[in-house]
Amino acid sequence: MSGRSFRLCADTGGTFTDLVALDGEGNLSEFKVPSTPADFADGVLDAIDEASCFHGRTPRELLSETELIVHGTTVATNALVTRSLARPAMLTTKGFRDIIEMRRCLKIETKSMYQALIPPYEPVVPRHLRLTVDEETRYTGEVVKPVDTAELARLVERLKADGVQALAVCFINSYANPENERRAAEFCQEALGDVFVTYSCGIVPKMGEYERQSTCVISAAVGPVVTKYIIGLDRRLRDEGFTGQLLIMQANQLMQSVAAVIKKPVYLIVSGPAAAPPGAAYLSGVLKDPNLITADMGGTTLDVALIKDAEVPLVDGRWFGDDRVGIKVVDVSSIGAGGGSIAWFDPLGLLQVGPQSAGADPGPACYGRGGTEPTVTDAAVVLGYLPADFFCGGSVPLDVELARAAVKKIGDRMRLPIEEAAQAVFTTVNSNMVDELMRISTRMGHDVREFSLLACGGGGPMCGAFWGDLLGCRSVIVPNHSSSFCAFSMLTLDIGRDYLRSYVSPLDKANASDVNLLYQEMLEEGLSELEAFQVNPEEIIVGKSADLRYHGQYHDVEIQLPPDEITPADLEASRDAFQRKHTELYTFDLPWVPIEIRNLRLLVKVKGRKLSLPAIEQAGEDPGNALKRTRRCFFNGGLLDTLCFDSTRLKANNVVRGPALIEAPTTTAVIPPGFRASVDAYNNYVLQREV
Amino acid sequence: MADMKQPVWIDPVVIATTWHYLQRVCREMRDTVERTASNVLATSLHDLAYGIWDAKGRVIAIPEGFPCRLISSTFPIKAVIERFGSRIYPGDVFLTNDPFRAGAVHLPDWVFIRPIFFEDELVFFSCMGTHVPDNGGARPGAYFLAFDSIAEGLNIPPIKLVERGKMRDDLLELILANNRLPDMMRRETYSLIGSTAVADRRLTELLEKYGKEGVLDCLEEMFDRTEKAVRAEIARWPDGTYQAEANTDDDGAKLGEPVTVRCRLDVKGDEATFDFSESDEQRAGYINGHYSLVLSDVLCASFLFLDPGLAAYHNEGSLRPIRVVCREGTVTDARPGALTAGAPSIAGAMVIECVLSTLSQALPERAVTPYGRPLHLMFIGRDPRTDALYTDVSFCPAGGAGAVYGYDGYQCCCELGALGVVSKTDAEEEMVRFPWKVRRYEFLIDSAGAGKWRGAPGIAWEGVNEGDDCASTMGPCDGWHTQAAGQQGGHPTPLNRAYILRAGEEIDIVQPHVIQDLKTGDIFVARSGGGAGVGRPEEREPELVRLDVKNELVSLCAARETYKVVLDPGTLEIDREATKTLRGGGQGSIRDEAPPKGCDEGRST
Repeated sequence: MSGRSFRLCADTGGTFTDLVALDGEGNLSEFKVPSTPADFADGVLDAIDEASCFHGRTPRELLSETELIVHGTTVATNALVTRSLARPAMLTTKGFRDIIEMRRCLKIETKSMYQALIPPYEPVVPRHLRLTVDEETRYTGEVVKPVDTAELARLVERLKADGVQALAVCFINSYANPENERRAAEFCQEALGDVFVTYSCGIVPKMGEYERQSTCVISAAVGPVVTKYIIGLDRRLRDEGFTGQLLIMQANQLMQSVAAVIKKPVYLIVSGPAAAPPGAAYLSGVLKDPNLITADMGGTTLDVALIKDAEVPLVDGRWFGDDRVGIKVVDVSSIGAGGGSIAWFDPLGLLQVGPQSAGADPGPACYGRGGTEPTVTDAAVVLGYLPADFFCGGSVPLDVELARAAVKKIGDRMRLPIEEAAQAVFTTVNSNMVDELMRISTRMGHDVREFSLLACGGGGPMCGAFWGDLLGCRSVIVPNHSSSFCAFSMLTLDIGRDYLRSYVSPLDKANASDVNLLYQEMLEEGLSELEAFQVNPEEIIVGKSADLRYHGQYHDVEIQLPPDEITPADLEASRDAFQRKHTELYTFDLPWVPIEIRNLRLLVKVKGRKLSLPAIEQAGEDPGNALKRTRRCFFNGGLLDTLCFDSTRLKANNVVRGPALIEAPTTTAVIPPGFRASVDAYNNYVLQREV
Repeated sequence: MADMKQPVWIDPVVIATTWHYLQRVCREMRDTVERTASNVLATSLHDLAYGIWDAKGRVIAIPEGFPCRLISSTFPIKAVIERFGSRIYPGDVFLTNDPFRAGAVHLPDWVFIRPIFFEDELVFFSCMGTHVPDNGGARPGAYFLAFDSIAEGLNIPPIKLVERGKMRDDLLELILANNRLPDMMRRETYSLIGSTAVADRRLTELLEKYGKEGVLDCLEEMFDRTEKAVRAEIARWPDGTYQAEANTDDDGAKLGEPVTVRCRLDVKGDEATFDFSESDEQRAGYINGHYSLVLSDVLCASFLFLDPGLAAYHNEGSLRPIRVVCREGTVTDARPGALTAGAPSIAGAMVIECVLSTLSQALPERAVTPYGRPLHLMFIGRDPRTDALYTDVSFCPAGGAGAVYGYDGYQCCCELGALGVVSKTDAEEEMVRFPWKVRRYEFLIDSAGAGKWRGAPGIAWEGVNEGDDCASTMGPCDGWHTQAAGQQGGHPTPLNRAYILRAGEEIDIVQPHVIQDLKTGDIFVARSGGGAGVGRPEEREPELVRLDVKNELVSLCAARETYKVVLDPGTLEIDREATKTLRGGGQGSIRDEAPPKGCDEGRST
């Protein structure tokens, strides 16, 4: 027995759960099983079962030999997007009942001003569950009216009667002094027992009630779902013999312990997809290609991000649909288009695909689990792209006849033969996805020809070449382990979190010792969250920064500070740094205007382990040794003989010419006619048009 | 021969990238101002005049923003071309605010115009303008009854403020010497100019990448493609003539006498003409509009009825199939010397109301109704904490959007003159900046125009004056005495109201166009009406009425009186029988557009 030498990364998506296992020798293996929405933990354990089989162990043996499990989960995102939230309520200051519904009138942040025929916004907490408290804190921090426990007790009775499962306490001016808010939250937690209670300053203690309240309300609303899920998963893993560390992937590309994560569940929104950009940034070093667009196509969604100069894009506050989250997260965006997306006709008789998905249950018609609606996967089966006998390495047999029957419904309506109907579905979903890719690239003013497209997820390798052609990227890269790319990426992450404190002061009156006190407070919070890891103090990396602005401005510029004790000279130096950054960003500075500090930020993290990829055997261009079989596939209106290659037998420098398929255990790469795929030293495929 | 232009092959990637790049440049300009300015109208309210034009002054990129300030900026740019001609140099920046010498929107809008050169040749213009918190004149704040347009504010014809990158300090000092907030306006000037420098930098990058010829070829193609797409959309509008009119309470001078804007829309084939010639004659007060503003507003409002997929692609081509006619001497095209402070908020809103109404008649299944009438705050006084003059402008009390066919009004959208692009400031931010304590800011019950689809609700806003005695200016407000109509039997926008609580006494503000003097400790209370409705309220799904009652947006009384839905006061269950009887067995009852009787308790809380 080799002790605890395995590292496992599990990424639960809407349709599939992916697992990547790294053994003591540095070998990677990947597994894909259907997700299990009734309890997503089942899917994680199913994947562990698969992995243990592969490694010739029982699940208990594998788990007892595992030192670390990293987990990214869609559970919070799913709950928010589908509004399958625990019944959340809100306590807010009397007179301010509708802050989260009015949303500062920011409609044009997520919709065009020229879009008029749209439904109104649906708030996370409906108005009748937004209760008000007669309390007052001034902007100075002075508590004018403390919370009255008799009033709170009455409100608690109403919350109980309403069967509320989560509560967000969000008071006006709490950033200046959280006392009322915290007291009310503590009182309610005590009185409500199992209800998930959180308060706005516990998450983002900064000025601006809308963003703070919205973040808190979302955190509360997903809290019960996330807590139940993660604690349940942790318990089940331990019951199965796991004694290592379970870490959860957060939306800010850092991992955290279970105990820390369930305090701020909002950090789990888009936890899984946020892994792809750091993974891509890692891979960009390997590929010597700093500009990548990541397109991760799962069963339900397509997640996209743009990486320029190998930098992971972060954004301080972002929209998820029409909901605002005020924390700093990886800039990934999603649309509802994936392998499970259902084809349908709109009232104008136009063919549409998605955003409705057959999900994992019943799944596409070809799964034979009762689904009858035609999906993208069914279309791909009809076209011959997906092997009926080798989907998920053969573990999910596909029924071609069921796929054809489902797609026939589309064909009948359009008066087209089945193959052509399948092609129509496939082309429609691809153009939806390309629209989203264009939104983050071309529409942001980037010339896509300077980028390579990283096509990953279960469906990415199947569609990547078609996207690349429509977009005009210089190449399409299908990475090794593409199907579980997010899980793979989790091997590259650091552990930790970022913290924030509101500190509003003119820069020339800022007091270094006050600043250090707040940093100390944040550091203690950070260290306590890291306590579970028993890390050496030398391993802890601290990053300090401050949000500065010219007095009177409404927005801040983040300026790095040295990681050590802050001195008056450091604060003085931030003045120049701010002026320089202001000029760089906005073309000018205002040297005569006083500068103000607004927030202090601290990043506390521990570096993850280094990952080195195993190289594959070198050979010449001819991929003949990896040839598996020949199949008839439908391309551009006709059936063509198509060579199928076995991904595990391809060697570095092999060149596969289209039409061809490369079958991997968890995905299939489609090389359309006119394309070539070259195999690199790490079994990544680089697809380009033949010249 | 010279006219026989050879068809140029346009690289599809270059045109797609260029098209979107121009919109991104606009967004970046807007970000620059919003992130660097300190004037709330620029930072949070999107009250910006910006975009990109070619060297002839044809508009290339129409971004999202305050409709009256977008396409209208063509006029000041053309005025610069006309006045300065060969004396336009790289690094120059021009300034104007003059409605009659340059076609600017109104005097408080300062527009900074930058010519953009590439290899010593003028290629583009860009501009950035906003409503400034002070523009001199006889009183602080723009909305007062001035003696004449000289007293209304500083008139700035197109001037060259920066020459070849060098600020002309003498001119700047002259302007600031006539301003009550010189420190603020000095930095705002740099911030507005800075955003045009961002455009210069970015557009130069574009020209370096694709070459001047390549980019300019794209522009012609963009104009043509947009024109074609807009024509195809208009061709789907049913041919015919549609009429509408909109009223405002008064002109600010003669109180109690409404002013009317009238519009006739003629749709013929793939072209549309909006004719405002029958509007009232121009007025002595400050609500007068003029052609550049009307043109800009009409185009932006009509874009709501085109495919929203075109939203990010509008340009000069969109203007070609749409004609706007005004008669000189009316409130839609006032003669030089007229007062224009209220042009964007009042004349502009009336124009947009007419456009929405005519097009909603033409396209009933795309009906869009007006938002709650304007209710903004402007407090001007001295802040004892800093001993400095402040101007606190807030749109927080403005009511929400009108209903559209198929949906209730959008709750996060207000100000018809701005087509909903103004945003609201966090109360926490306002309380730090201004000596006003906000003590209430939330939806108001029974405040939406009723309908099968109702408007978004109005707002209750209350603030305590913690500063010195100050003035409250409500010149741009409207809707105290007049309402904007709904569609298809939907109710109009409910009336706006405001009052002052002073030592327990309630002092009603009957005429908001009269400036009010406020005392320290006064509580200012604003109660806005929300958007108008679409369809008859008694056709509203009873379950939706029940939800509105549960959410305390509609009172039990209004549910019964207006929506004809009877609910059990204890359980809020729908009494199906009583509801059916009240609704006349599903046949609908007589049309009732009056506000619900006896339901006033709801709104006054």
